[in-house]
Amino acid sequence: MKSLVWLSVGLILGLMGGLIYTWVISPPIYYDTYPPMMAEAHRREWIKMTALAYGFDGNWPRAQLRLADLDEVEIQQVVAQTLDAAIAQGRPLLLLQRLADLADSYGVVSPAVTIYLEQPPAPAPTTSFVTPPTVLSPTTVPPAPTATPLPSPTVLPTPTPALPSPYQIISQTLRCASAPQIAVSLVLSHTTEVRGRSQVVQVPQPGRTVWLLWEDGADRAVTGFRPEFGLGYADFIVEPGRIYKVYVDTPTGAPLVTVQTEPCTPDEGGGWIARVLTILERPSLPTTTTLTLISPTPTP
Amino acid sequence: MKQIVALLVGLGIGLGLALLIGWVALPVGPYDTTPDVLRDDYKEEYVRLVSLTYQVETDREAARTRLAALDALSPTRPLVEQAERWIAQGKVEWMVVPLIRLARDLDAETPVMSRYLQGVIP
Repeated sequence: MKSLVWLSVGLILGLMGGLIYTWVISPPIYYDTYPPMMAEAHRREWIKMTALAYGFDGNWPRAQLRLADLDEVEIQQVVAQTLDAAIAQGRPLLLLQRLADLADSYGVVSPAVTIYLEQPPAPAPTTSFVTPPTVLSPTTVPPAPTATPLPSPTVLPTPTPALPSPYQIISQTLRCASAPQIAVSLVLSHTTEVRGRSQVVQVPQPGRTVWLLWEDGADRAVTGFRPEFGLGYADFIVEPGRIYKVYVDTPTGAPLVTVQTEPCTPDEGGGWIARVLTILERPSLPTTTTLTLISPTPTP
Repeated sequence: MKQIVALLVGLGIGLGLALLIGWVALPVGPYDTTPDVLRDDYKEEYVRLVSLTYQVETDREAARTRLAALDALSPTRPLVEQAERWIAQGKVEWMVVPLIRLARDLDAETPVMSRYLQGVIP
Protein backbone atom coordinates (compact mmCIF):
# COMPACT_ATOMS: atom_id res chain seq x y z
CA MET A 1 0.00 0.00 0.00
CA LYS A 2 2.80 2.37 0.92
CA SER A 3 4.54 1.61 -2.39
CA LEU A 4 1.43 2.67 -4.30
CA VAL A 5 1.42 5.97 -2.46
CA TRP A 6 5.10 6.57 -3.27
CA LEU A 7 4.43 5.59 -6.89
CA SER A 8 1.63 8.18 -7.08
CA VAL A 9 3.78 10.85 -5.50
CA GLY A 10 6.54 10.12 -7.98
CA LEU A 11 4.06 10.23 -10.87
CA ILE A 12 2.72 13.63 -9.84
CA LEU A 13 6.18 15.07 -9.26
CA GLY A 14 7.34 13.71 -12.60
CA LEU A 15 4.36 15.17 -14.41
CA MET A 16 4.79 18.59 -12.81
CA GLY A 17 8.51 18.72 -13.44
CA GLY A 18 8.12 17.51 -17.01
CA LEU A 19 5.38 20.00 -17.87
CA ILE A 20 7.36 22.89 -16.39
CA TYR A 21 10.29 21.84 -18.52
CA THR A 22 8.35 21.39 -21.78
CA TRP A 23 6.04 24.37 -21.43
CA VAL A 24 8.30 26.92 -19.72
CA ILE A 25 11.98 26.01 -19.78
CA SER A 26 12.23 24.40 -23.18
CA PRO A 27 9.12 24.86 -25.30
CA PRO A 28 9.24 23.38 -28.78
CA ILE A 29 10.86 25.43 -31.53
CA TYR A 30 8.87 25.50 -34.74
CA TYR A 31 10.27 25.32 -38.23
CA ASP A 32 8.61 25.18 -41.62
CA THR A 33 5.50 26.92 -40.37
CA TYR A 34 2.83 28.62 -42.43
CA PRO A 35 1.10 32.01 -42.11
CA PRO A 36 -1.75 31.04 -39.76
CA MET A 37 0.88 30.02 -37.18
CA MET A 38 2.47 33.45 -37.09
CA ALA A 39 1.94 35.85 -34.21
CA GLU A 40 -0.97 38.23 -34.61
CA ALA A 41 1.10 41.23 -35.70
CA HIS A 42 2.79 39.22 -38.44
CA ARG A 43 -0.49 37.62 -39.52
CA ARG A 44 -2.11 41.02 -39.89
CA GLU A 45 0.88 42.26 -41.84
CA TRP A 46 0.64 39.22 -44.12
CA ILE A 47 -3.05 39.90 -44.75
CA LYS A 48 -2.41 43.59 -45.41
CA MET A 49 0.37 42.82 -47.86
CA THR A 50 -1.82 40.24 -49.57
CA ALA A 51 -4.59 42.81 -49.95
CA LEU A 52 -2.24 45.44 -51.38
CA ALA A 53 -0.60 42.88 -53.68
CA TYR A 54 -4.04 41.92 -54.98
CA GLY A 55 -4.81 45.58 -55.45
CA PHE A 56 -1.61 45.91 -57.41
CA ASP A 57 -1.67 42.82 -59.64
CA GLY A 58 -5.29 41.63 -59.45
CA ASN A 59 -4.19 38.00 -59.08
CA TRP A 60 -7.26 36.57 -57.38
CA PRO A 61 -6.27 32.88 -57.20
CA ARG A 62 -2.97 33.87 -55.64
CA ALA A 63 -4.69 36.10 -53.08
CA GLN A 64 -6.99 33.25 -52.10
CA LEU A 65 -4.04 30.92 -51.62
CA ARG A 66 -2.21 33.47 -49.52
CA LEU A 67 -5.22 33.90 -47.26
CA ALA A 68 -6.01 30.20 -47.00
CA ASP A 69 -6.61 28.92 -43.46
CA LEU A 70 -6.38 32.38 -41.93
CA ASP A 71 -9.15 33.50 -39.62
CA GLU A 72 -11.92 35.09 -41.67
CA VAL A 73 -12.76 37.69 -39.02
CA GLU A 74 -9.15 38.80 -38.94
CA ILE A 75 -9.09 39.00 -42.75
CA GLN A 76 -12.24 41.11 -42.71
CA GLN A 77 -10.78 43.53 -40.16
CA VAL A 78 -7.45 43.96 -41.87
CA VAL A 79 -8.79 44.23 -45.42
CA ALA A 80 -11.37 46.80 -44.32
CA GLN A 81 -8.66 48.83 -42.58
CA THR A 82 -6.41 48.54 -45.61
CA LEU A 83 -9.18 49.75 -47.90
CA ASP A 84 -9.97 52.70 -45.64
CA ALA A 85 -6.30 53.64 -45.42
CA ALA A 86 -5.88 53.35 -49.18
CA ILE A 87 -8.84 55.65 -49.71
CA ALA A 88 -7.48 58.16 -47.22
CA GLN A 89 -4.10 58.07 -48.94
CA GLY A 90 -5.67 58.70 -52.33
CA ARG A 91 -4.55 55.46 -53.94
CA PRO A 92 -5.55 54.79 -57.57
CA LEU A 93 -9.15 53.92 -58.24
CA LEU A 94 -8.34 50.50 -59.68
CA LEU A 95 -6.52 49.53 -56.51
CA LEU A 96 -9.43 50.70 -54.38
CA GLN A 97 -11.88 48.72 -56.48
CA ARG A 98 -9.80 45.58 -56.17
CA LEU A 99 -9.50 46.05 -52.42
CA ALA A 100 -13.27 46.50 -52.21
CA ASP A 101 -13.70 43.38 -54.32
CA LEU A 102 -11.44 41.43 -51.97
CA ALA A 103 -13.22 42.82 -48.91
CA ASP A 104 -16.60 41.92 -50.33
CA SER A 105 -15.44 38.40 -51.10
CA TYR A 106 -14.59 37.93 -47.45
CA GLY A 107 -17.88 39.37 -46.24
CA VAL A 108 -16.86 42.90 -45.29
CA VAL A 109 -19.83 45.26 -45.22
CA SER A 110 -18.88 48.93 -45.11
CA PRO A 111 -19.68 52.14 -46.97
CA ALA A 112 -16.27 52.06 -48.63
CA VAL A 113 -16.90 48.58 -49.99
CA THR A 114 -20.32 49.60 -51.25
CA ILE A 115 -18.90 52.62 -53.00
CA TYR A 116 -15.96 51.03 -54.71
CA LEU A 117 -17.55 47.68 -55.44
CA GLU A 118 -20.68 48.78 -57.22
CA GLN A 119 -19.47 51.74 -59.18
CA PRO A 120 -17.67 51.20 -62.46
CA PRO A 121 -14.40 53.04 -62.87
CA ALA A 122 -15.06 56.69 -63.36
CA PRO A 123 -14.31 57.74 -66.91
CA ALA A 124 -11.65 60.35 -67.12
CA PRO A 125 -12.81 63.65 -68.55
CA THR A 126 -12.35 63.65 -72.28
CA THR A 127 -11.32 67.26 -72.33
CA SER A 128 -8.26 68.41 -70.49
CA PHE A 129 -8.30 71.32 -68.13
CA VAL A 130 -5.77 73.24 -70.14
CA THR A 131 -8.47 75.67 -71.09
CA PRO A 132 -10.00 77.77 -68.36
CA PRO A 133 -13.36 76.22 -67.72
CA THR A 134 -15.52 78.36 -65.54
CA VAL A 135 -18.78 79.78 -66.77
CA LEU A 136 -20.99 81.21 -64.10
CA SER A 137 -24.68 80.61 -64.19
CA PRO A 138 -26.72 83.78 -64.00
CA THR A 139 -29.38 82.10 -61.90
CA THR A 140 -27.46 81.77 -58.70
CA VAL A 141 -24.00 83.10 -59.24
CA PRO A 142 -23.36 86.69 -60.22
CA PRO A 143 -22.23 86.98 -63.83
CA ALA A 144 -18.53 86.53 -64.07
CA PRO A 145 -16.46 89.42 -65.23
CA THR A 146 -14.00 88.47 -67.89
CA ALA A 147 -11.32 90.75 -66.60
CA THR A 148 -8.32 89.65 -64.58
CA PRO A 149 -9.60 88.01 -61.41
CA LEU A 150 -9.39 89.95 -58.20
CA PRO A 151 -10.25 88.80 -54.72
CA SER A 152 -14.01 88.81 -54.63
CA PRO A 153 -16.47 87.74 -51.96
CA THR A 154 -17.38 84.50 -53.63
CA VAL A 155 -15.98 83.06 -56.81
CA LEU A 156 -12.99 84.36 -58.66
CA PRO A 157 -13.48 83.33 -62.26
CA THR A 158 -10.58 82.43 -64.42
CA PRO A 159 -10.00 84.34 -67.65
CA THR A 160 -12.35 83.77 -70.54
CA PRO A 161 -11.51 80.43 -72.13
CA ALA A 162 -10.28 80.23 -75.65
CA LEU A 163 -12.08 76.91 -76.17
CA PRO A 164 -15.38 75.70 -74.74
CA SER A 165 -14.87 74.41 -71.25
CA PRO A 166 -16.21 71.01 -70.21
CA TYR A 167 -17.58 72.50 -67.00
CA GLN A 168 -20.03 75.20 -66.13
CA ILE A 169 -21.00 76.55 -62.74
CA ILE A 170 -24.77 76.41 -62.50
CA SER A 171 -25.41 77.24 -58.87
CA GLN A 172 -23.87 78.41 -55.67
CA THR A 173 -25.26 78.38 -52.17
CA LEU A 174 -23.61 80.07 -49.23
CA ARG A 175 -24.10 79.23 -45.59
CA CYS A 176 -22.53 80.40 -42.38
CA ALA A 177 -20.56 77.79 -40.45
CA SER A 178 -18.18 77.83 -37.54
CA ALA A 179 -15.27 77.30 -39.95
CA PRO A 180 -14.87 77.84 -43.68
CA GLN A 181 -15.61 74.72 -45.65
CA ILE A 182 -15.49 73.52 -49.21
CA ALA A 183 -16.95 70.19 -50.23
CA VAL A 184 -17.40 68.48 -53.58
CA SER A 185 -20.03 66.16 -54.93
CA LEU A 186 -19.25 64.84 -58.37
CA VAL A 187 -22.04 63.46 -60.54
CA LEU A 188 -21.93 62.10 -64.06
CA SER A 189 -25.04 62.71 -66.10
CA HIS A 190 -25.93 60.24 -68.81
CA THR A 191 -28.45 61.31 -71.41
CA THR A 192 -30.34 58.37 -72.88
CA GLU A 193 -33.17 58.06 -75.36
CA VAL A 194 -36.29 56.34 -74.02
CA ARG A 195 -39.13 56.03 -76.56
CA GLY A 196 -37.80 58.96 -78.45
CA ARG A 197 -37.50 61.15 -75.39
CA SER A 198 -34.28 62.17 -73.72
CA GLN A 199 -33.84 61.06 -70.17
CA VAL A 200 -31.05 62.23 -67.88
CA VAL A 201 -29.67 59.85 -65.26
CA GLN A 202 -27.18 61.19 -62.77
CA VAL A 203 -24.64 58.79 -61.31
CA PRO A 204 -22.44 59.87 -58.39
CA GLN A 205 -18.76 59.50 -59.13
CA PRO A 206 -16.76 57.97 -56.28
CA GLY A 207 -13.03 57.57 -56.51
CA ARG A 208 -12.36 60.85 -58.30
CA THR A 209 -9.64 63.07 -56.95
CA VAL A 210 -10.42 66.69 -56.30
CA TRP A 211 -7.54 69.07 -55.69
CA LEU A 212 -7.31 72.34 -53.87
CA LEU A 213 -4.22 74.38 -54.59
CA TRP A 214 -3.25 77.55 -52.82
CA GLU A 215 -0.28 79.84 -52.85
CA ASP A 216 2.13 77.59 -51.00
CA GLY A 217 0.43 74.25 -50.74
CA ALA A 218 -2.04 71.71 -52.02
CA ASP A 219 -4.56 69.24 -50.70
CA ARG A 220 -6.60 66.54 -52.32
CA ALA A 221 -9.67 64.52 -51.47
CA VAL A 222 -11.18 61.45 -53.04
CA THR A 223 -14.90 61.45 -53.62
CA GLY A 224 -17.03 58.77 -52.02
CA PHE A 225 -15.43 58.44 -48.64
CA ARG A 226 -18.38 59.98 -46.80
CA PRO A 227 -21.38 58.23 -48.31
CA GLU A 228 -23.78 59.91 -45.92
CA PHE A 229 -23.29 63.04 -48.04
CA GLY A 230 -23.43 61.17 -51.34
CA LEU A 231 -21.21 58.79 -53.23
CA GLY A 232 -19.59 61.58 -55.18
CA TYR A 233 -18.86 63.63 -52.10
CA ALA A 234 -15.52 64.88 -50.78
CA ASP A 235 -14.73 67.78 -48.52
CA PHE A 236 -11.81 69.87 -47.40
CA ILE A 237 -10.65 71.71 -44.35
CA VAL A 238 -9.73 75.18 -45.53
CA GLU A 239 -8.08 78.17 -43.93
CA PRO A 240 -9.86 81.48 -43.41
CA GLY A 241 -9.03 84.18 -45.89
CA ARG A 242 -7.10 81.96 -48.26
CA ILE A 243 -7.66 81.71 -52.00
CA TYR A 244 -8.07 78.19 -53.38
CA LYS A 245 -7.97 76.85 -56.90
CA VAL A 246 -10.09 73.78 -57.54
CA TYR A 247 -9.11 70.98 -59.94
CA VAL A 248 -10.58 67.60 -60.74
CA ASP A 249 -8.42 64.50 -61.29
CA THR A 250 -5.16 66.34 -61.95
CA PRO A 251 -3.97 69.70 -60.57
CA THR A 252 -2.71 70.88 -63.91
CA GLY A 253 -3.79 73.48 -66.38
CA ALA A 254 -6.26 76.16 -65.51
CA PRO A 255 -8.31 75.65 -62.35
CA LEU A 256 -11.93 74.70 -62.52
CA VAL A 257 -12.75 77.60 -60.27
CA THR A 258 -11.01 79.86 -57.81
CA VAL A 259 -12.59 80.29 -54.40
CA GLN A 260 -11.73 82.60 -51.54
CA THR A 261 -12.80 81.80 -48.01
CA GLU A 262 -14.34 84.73 -46.21
CA PRO A 263 -16.21 85.55 -43.03
CA CYS A 264 -19.95 85.97 -42.71
CA THR A 265 -21.25 89.41 -41.92
CA PRO A 266 -22.15 90.29 -38.32
CA ASP A 267 -25.82 90.33 -39.39
CA GLU A 268 -25.50 86.66 -40.29
CA GLY A 269 -24.17 85.81 -36.86
CA GLY A 270 -20.47 85.70 -37.68
CA GLY A 271 -18.57 82.56 -38.54
CA TRP A 272 -17.30 81.60 -41.96
CA ILE A 273 -18.95 80.97 -45.28
CA ALA A 274 -19.33 77.39 -46.40
CA ARG A 275 -20.37 77.30 -49.99
CA VAL A 276 -22.23 75.21 -52.51
CA LEU A 277 -21.12 75.33 -56.11
CA THR A 278 -22.64 73.24 -58.85
CA ILE A 279 -20.61 72.92 -61.99
CA LEU A 280 -22.06 71.27 -65.07
CA GLU A 281 -20.18 69.99 -68.06
CA ARG A 282 -21.09 71.55 -71.36
CA PRO A 283 -23.82 69.58 -73.13
CA SER A 284 -21.94 69.43 -76.43
CA LEU A 285 -20.12 66.30 -75.29
CA PRO A 286 -21.71 62.83 -75.42
CA THR A 287 -22.03 62.64 -71.66
CA THR A 288 -22.39 65.48 -69.24
CA THR A 289 -20.62 65.64 -65.95
CA THR A 290 -22.07 67.61 -63.09
CA LEU A 291 -19.62 68.77 -60.50
CA THR A 292 -21.28 70.03 -57.38
CA LEU A 293 -19.23 71.89 -54.88
CA ILE A 294 -21.30 71.84 -51.74
CA SER A 295 -20.76 72.65 -48.15
CA PRO A 296 -21.45 70.06 -45.49
CA THR A 297 -24.16 70.93 -43.03
CA PRO A 298 -22.70 73.72 -40.99
CA THR A 299 -22.20 73.10 -37.32
CA PRO A 300 -22.81 76.22 -35.30
CA MET B 1 13.81 0.27 -0.42
CA LYS B 2 10.56 -0.62 -2.13
CA GLN B 3 9.28 2.87 -1.43
CA ILE B 4 12.24 4.50 -3.17
CA VAL B 5 11.85 2.24 -6.18
CA ALA B 6 8.15 3.09 -6.35
CA LEU B 7 8.93 6.80 -6.16
CA LEU B 8 11.52 6.56 -8.95
CA VAL B 9 9.19 4.53 -11.15
CA GLY B 10 6.46 7.11 -10.56
CA LEU B 11 8.83 9.94 -11.39
CA GLY B 12 9.92 8.22 -14.60
CA ILE B 13 6.37 7.57 -15.76
CA GLY B 14 5.29 11.10 -14.85
CA LEU B 15 8.23 12.65 -16.64
CA GLY B 16 7.62 10.58 -19.75
CA LEU B 17 3.96 11.52 -19.80
CA ALA B 18 4.82 15.20 -19.33
CA LEU B 19 7.26 15.20 -22.23
CA LEU B 20 4.65 13.57 -24.42
CA ILE B 21 2.02 16.08 -23.39
CA GLY B 22 4.27 19.16 -23.45
CA TRP B 23 6.08 18.55 -26.73
CA VAL B 24 3.61 16.47 -28.74
CA ALA B 25 0.02 16.49 -27.54
CA LEU B 26 -0.33 20.01 -26.17
CA PRO B 27 2.75 22.00 -27.15
CA VAL B 28 2.84 25.60 -26.05
CA GLY B 29 2.70 28.60 -28.37
CA PRO B 30 2.16 27.10 -31.81
CA TYR B 31 0.54 30.31 -33.04
CA ASP B 32 3.19 32.84 -32.08
CA THR B 33 5.83 32.18 -34.67
CA THR B 34 7.69 34.71 -36.80
CA PRO B 35 8.22 34.89 -40.57
CA ASP B 36 11.80 33.61 -40.30
CA VAL B 37 10.55 30.12 -39.42
CA LEU B 38 8.08 29.93 -42.30
CA ARG B 39 8.50 27.08 -44.72
CA ASP B 40 10.79 28.04 -47.61
CA ASP B 41 7.98 28.45 -50.14
CA TYR B 42 6.12 30.72 -47.74
CA LYS B 43 9.30 32.72 -47.16
CA GLU B 44 9.53 33.26 -50.90
CA GLU B 45 5.91 34.34 -50.91
CA TYR B 46 6.62 36.71 -48.03
CA VAL B 47 9.47 38.39 -49.91
CA ARG B 48 7.30 38.63 -52.99
CA LEU B 49 4.51 40.21 -50.96
CA VAL B 50 6.92 42.74 -49.51
CA SER B 51 8.07 43.71 -52.99
CA LEU B 52 4.53 43.97 -54.37
CA THR B 53 3.41 46.01 -51.38
CA TYR B 54 6.35 48.30 -51.96
CA GLN B 55 5.08 48.96 -55.49
CA VAL B 56 1.94 50.39 -53.89
CA GLU B 57 3.28 52.09 -50.79
CA THR B 58 6.79 53.07 -51.97
CA ASP B 59 7.78 53.09 -48.32
CA ARG B 60 11.37 51.91 -48.11
CA GLU B 61 11.53 51.77 -44.34
CA ALA B 62 8.35 49.72 -44.10
CA ALA B 63 9.75 47.29 -46.67
CA ARG B 64 13.06 47.08 -44.83
CA THR B 65 11.27 46.42 -41.53
CA ARG B 66 9.22 43.65 -43.11
CA LEU B 67 12.30 42.05 -44.59
CA ALA B 68 14.04 42.27 -41.23
CA ALA B 69 11.45 39.83 -39.93
CA LEU B 70 13.18 37.24 -42.11
CA ASP B 71 16.74 38.28 -41.37
CA ALA B 72 17.28 40.89 -38.71
CA LEU B 73 21.02 41.20 -39.33
CA SER B 74 20.83 41.58 -43.09
CA PRO B 75 17.27 42.46 -44.13
CA THR B 76 18.04 42.69 -47.85
CA ARG B 77 19.78 39.30 -48.01
CA PRO B 78 16.59 37.23 -48.54
CA LEU B 79 15.45 39.74 -51.18
CA VAL B 80 18.74 39.64 -53.09
CA GLU B 81 19.00 35.88 -52.89
CA GLN B 82 15.46 35.39 -54.11
CA ALA B 83 15.80 37.88 -56.95
CA GLU B 84 19.01 36.27 -58.20
CA ARG B 85 17.57 32.79 -57.76
CA TRP B 86 14.46 33.68 -59.71
CA ILE B 87 16.53 35.27 -62.44
CA ALA B 88 18.58 32.09 -62.68
CA GLN B 89 15.41 30.00 -62.74
CA GLY B 90 14.00 32.10 -65.57
CA LYS B 91 10.93 33.27 -63.68
CA VAL B 92 8.65 35.57 -65.60
CA GLU B 93 9.47 39.25 -65.73
CA TRP B 94 6.46 40.45 -63.76
CA MET B 95 7.54 38.32 -60.84
CA VAL B 96 11.20 39.33 -60.89
CA VAL B 97 11.06 43.03 -61.64
CA PRO B 98 9.28 44.09 -58.40
CA LEU B 99 11.99 42.32 -56.43
CA ILE B 100 14.74 44.12 -58.33
CA ARG B 101 13.01 47.47 -58.00
CA LEU B 102 12.82 47.05 -54.26
CA ALA B 103 16.42 45.85 -54.08
CA ARG B 104 17.53 48.86 -56.06
CA ASP B 105 15.63 51.25 -53.80
CA LEU B 106 17.18 49.58 -50.76
CA ASP B 107 20.65 49.99 -52.31
CA ALA B 108 21.01 46.26 -52.68
CA GLU B 109 20.99 45.91 -56.46
CA THR B 110 23.59 43.46 -57.74
CA PRO B 111 25.24 43.18 -61.17
CA VAL B 112 23.06 40.15 -61.91
CA MET B 113 19.96 42.26 -61.37
CA SER B 114 21.34 45.14 -63.41
CA ARG B 115 22.09 42.86 -66.35
CA TYR B 116 18.60 41.36 -66.07
CA LEU B 117 16.98 44.79 -66.10
CA GLN B 118 19.02 45.81 -69.15
CA GLY B 119 17.62 42.77 -70.88
CA VAL B 120 13.96 43.25 -70.02
CA ILE B 121 13.77 47.02 -69.98
CA PRO B 122 15.19 48.51 -73.14
